[in-house]
Amino acid sequence: MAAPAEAEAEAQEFIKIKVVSQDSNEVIFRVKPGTSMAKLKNSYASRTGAAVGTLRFLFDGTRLKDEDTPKSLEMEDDDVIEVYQEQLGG
Amino acid sequence: MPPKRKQATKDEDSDGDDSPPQKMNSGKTMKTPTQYPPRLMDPFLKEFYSHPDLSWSYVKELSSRFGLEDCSVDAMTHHLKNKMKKGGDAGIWRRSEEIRLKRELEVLARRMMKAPPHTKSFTKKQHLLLEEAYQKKKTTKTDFDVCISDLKLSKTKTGQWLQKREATEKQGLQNFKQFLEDPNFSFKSTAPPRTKMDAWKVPILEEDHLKCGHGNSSDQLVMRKLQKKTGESDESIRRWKSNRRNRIRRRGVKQSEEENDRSPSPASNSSIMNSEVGEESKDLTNLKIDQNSDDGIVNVDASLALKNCSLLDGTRNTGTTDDSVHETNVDYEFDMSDVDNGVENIENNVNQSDVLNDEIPPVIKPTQVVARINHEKGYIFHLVEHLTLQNISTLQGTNLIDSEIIDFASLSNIFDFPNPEKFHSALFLPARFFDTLIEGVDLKKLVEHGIGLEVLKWNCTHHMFGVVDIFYRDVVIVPIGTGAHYVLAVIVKGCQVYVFDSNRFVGGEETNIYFTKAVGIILTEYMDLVCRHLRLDPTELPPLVVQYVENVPQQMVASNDCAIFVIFYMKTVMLTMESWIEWSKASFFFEIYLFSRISKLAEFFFEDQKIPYEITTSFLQNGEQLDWSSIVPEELRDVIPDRVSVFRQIMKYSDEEQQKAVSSLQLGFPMPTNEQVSVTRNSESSNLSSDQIKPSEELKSVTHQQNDNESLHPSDSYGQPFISISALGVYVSNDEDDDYFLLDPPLEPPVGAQMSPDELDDLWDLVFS
Repeated sequence: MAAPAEAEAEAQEFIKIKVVSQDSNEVIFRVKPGTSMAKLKNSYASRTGAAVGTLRFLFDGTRLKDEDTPKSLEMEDDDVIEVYQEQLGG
Repeated sequence: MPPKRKQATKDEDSDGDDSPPQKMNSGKTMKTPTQYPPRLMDPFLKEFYSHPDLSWSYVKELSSRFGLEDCSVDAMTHHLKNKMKKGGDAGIWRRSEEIRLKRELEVLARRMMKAPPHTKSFTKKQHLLLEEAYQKKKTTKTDFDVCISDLKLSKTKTGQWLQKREATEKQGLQNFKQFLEDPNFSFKSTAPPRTKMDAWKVPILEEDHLKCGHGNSSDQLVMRKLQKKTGESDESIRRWKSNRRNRIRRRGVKQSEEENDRSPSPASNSSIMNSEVGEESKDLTNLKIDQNSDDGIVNVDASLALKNCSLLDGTRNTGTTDDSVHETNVDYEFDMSDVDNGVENIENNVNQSDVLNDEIPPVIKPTQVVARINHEKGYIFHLVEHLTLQNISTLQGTNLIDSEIIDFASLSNIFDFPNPEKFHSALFLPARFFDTLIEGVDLKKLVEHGIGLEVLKWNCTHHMFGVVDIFYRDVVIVPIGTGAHYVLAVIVKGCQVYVFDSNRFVGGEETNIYFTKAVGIILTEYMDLVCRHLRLDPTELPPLVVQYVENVPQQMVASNDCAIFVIFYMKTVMLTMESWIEWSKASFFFEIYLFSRISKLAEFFFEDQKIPYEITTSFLQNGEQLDWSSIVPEELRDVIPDRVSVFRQIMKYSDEEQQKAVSSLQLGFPMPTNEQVSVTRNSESSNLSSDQIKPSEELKSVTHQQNDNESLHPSDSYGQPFISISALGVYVSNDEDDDYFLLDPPLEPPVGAQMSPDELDDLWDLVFS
């Protein structure tokens, strides 16, 4: 009996996170608080067709690391992550 | 109320006829001008901004003015809401103002308290205690932990958050100082212990393997690998000379960033960026990394450390390391006779995995944060910057340089100064600001046909950066990335824009004019948008004058050094405004750097014929040629400084220069003494530019003159911190129970904006008295 209850509790713990790019396009992710940001980055990159290395994810002005999780960043529902394209110049 | 509004619109129309909208640069399509009342701000906000000491005590004053016992932001906003309800219709026109006020109050409170985003409201006690703690930290310089323990906040969420942030701040500064000073700086891994989820990632080696240098092993390892792959002896490998064809090939490959970049040519050993390790990390799981073998220890950071070729070491250990310096800097490339067969054979024979295993052991993850600076002060825009190994690795060779390095340099520039508070009238924008603003704008169409201003990403920039007050600051420094080139724009006193271009001879004069036009149009449009948002009258702002700064050090063709130059300009602008004109005062290392680049290029194009020096005399003052033997010491003539060493050197000016600069900054920035400078705000202002700089008198005159026609500024003092700019942290809670979320797009002009100023004053008194 305990297992399904826990599963339900986990299911309720999903967080909606917006990812906003420079062209003001939004992509919304439903994320568990324990999932790493690497997954989110990869899925966003695959969705937009860009390489992960060329994207920069900022949350509250801080760069997201791969090890970060919504829990460690203390994210809440409808929090916004900003994405910037990598900028190179010479 | 309705009849009043009708009258107000009539008044508004008459006002609009009297003051026509501002004429923009040619080619700008004017929208139908929505006229705002000529008044600038309501008296409350004016007082709010012009208060000389924007401290927490002032917030308390405000709260007492609202009649609030609890001075938390939520209480204030709640009170404001009630006020609006009581005001009935009168509240409608002011609603947007209220929202803005709320936002600013909250931002102010957060800034004063350095509040974490997750705390909704403090109690009054907590406010006071926190303020005390920060003051104690400022005055007595005690550890923050002690303060926190005094507050007994350490177990709360807030206290933990603050402690954590403090620790990272310290760590980041230490790291970066170490990176600047110590050429053998080793990046320690601060990654948390691995979990099952990280299993697919690149393994992190132990700290012993992360150390840079490992003696002089990098050269030896290169030789060993070459021996393995080609089967030749040491001598024959050493005879390989630099070859034009391979250089071209190498550059082309690097710029196109193809997968072939991992070709087994030894030249790619130092040039392969760490980024590729991370991007293909899934492939790397199949690899076996021998941590104990020599190949496994091959260090990605060997070229970063630049133990031998940094300019500093050259001065310290004179002559002893010259040979090794030369060797490390030479690009190992194949001779023509060997190239065609050898390279192809190697490429065919060696698997990609082997190459990866040999040459780029994934020692450190590319996204690992190397240094980090955290700050929440008003004079800088971005809050936190991370510098990863991937970013730093773009400094190697002739790679295109990452914009993060410019941002980080601008940050740490300020932190190097003993009194960074002196920069409160300056604003440093990140390189991504202009990029987001002109996302999707075709500059050519914009300049020629005036099309595309509508595409300016006001909403997006507003979301990401808030409102940037370009015209309130003494100096705004905007690095501009246009495609593959960086340019530095410096906005002085909100009206004069100086553009520093390190590569301006490439496109000829036409492109320069074209670009100045584009920058002028975009910045003026952005100022208009900001005015619209702040309910200011854009017609009262002075027009922007964009000007190219001449006699600026130039980069070499195809050297891809523009970011380094932008950093250099930034530093010199910050240090002394005089150096805009007297470039010979620039420290000589930079000239050596240029010289080395020139000689390299000469070898490349003309095969050991040196390019005549006249090409680059432009960065010397008045065309006077300096004798290189007088500048360059003998020991350093053979040294070819690398980008990294130059970057390090730029970041370290002498303390005396810094103190001079700070003392000049205390008075404000002296206007440049260039005769061409024409400040179009007043005809009188031409008096400002004189040949001899007497900062104190001149500046007084400057400020007085500006105060005389000060109708366009909400406050009389330039230096006050402007609150509505809250970097990336603008949050508003509309409902009491709601979480924080980002703002809506900019508000529509309120209905009441069409009322006459007297009526607005009456209404203001009605609501707030």
